[in-house]
Amino acid sequence: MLNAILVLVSWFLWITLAVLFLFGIPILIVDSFVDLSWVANQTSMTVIWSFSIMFAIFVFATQVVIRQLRKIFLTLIEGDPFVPENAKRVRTIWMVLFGFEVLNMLFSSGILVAKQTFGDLFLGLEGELHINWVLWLAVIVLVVLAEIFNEGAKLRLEQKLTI
Amino acid sequence: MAIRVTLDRVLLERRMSLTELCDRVGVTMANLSILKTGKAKAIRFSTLEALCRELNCQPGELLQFEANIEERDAAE
Repeated sequence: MLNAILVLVSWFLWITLAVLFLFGIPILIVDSFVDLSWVANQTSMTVIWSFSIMFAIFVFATQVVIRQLRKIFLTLIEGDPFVPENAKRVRTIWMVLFGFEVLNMLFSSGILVAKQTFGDLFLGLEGELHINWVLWLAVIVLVVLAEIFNEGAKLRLEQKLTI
Repeated sequence: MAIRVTLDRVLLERRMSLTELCDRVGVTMANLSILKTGKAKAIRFSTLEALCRELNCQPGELLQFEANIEERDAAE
């Protein structure tokens, strides 16, 4: 059941990413020749593109996390989740979350700097730098869990090779 | 690991096959193969006891310490 939900979410995200690229890339090309200010309304195309790229990275990061979760879940179904691969998967998950949040903070601070430098280019955009404490806490918890998992997997292997 | 399992040599001396030993000791063929090929991380006293009883030997005949193997492992 959980696996099926994860598959659905995964597919939804792939479709979103596909739609983003299918419509986004032509707009980028057209934008070079035609004035698309009506699309942008009060926000510049630069802002739209910055957000699109961030969104694409977000979808990709979520995809990676969901894929890892699915693989962990499959080992759970098979009845042997304490394998070294799962420790690596949990490690991948926290690294992706960590990387994405750092990127997000860089993006937000980039907007702040750009807004101060260019002003008009970032009309209607609220650039604020805030620390997502819940996410950072989740990253710390996952780091600890990954290491525990790693030790557990080592013990499991040792137990498996004890005759 | 510097500990080498000499089960194959003892089996040869006793003219006993691995399958026969499996049946006598009550350990699966897969596990005995792991032990014989030196892939095992540890051996239970109960397994060692059963092996010694069935092969009529001492634990020292089944296990051997080789320091040069340890040095080679460390170098790797």
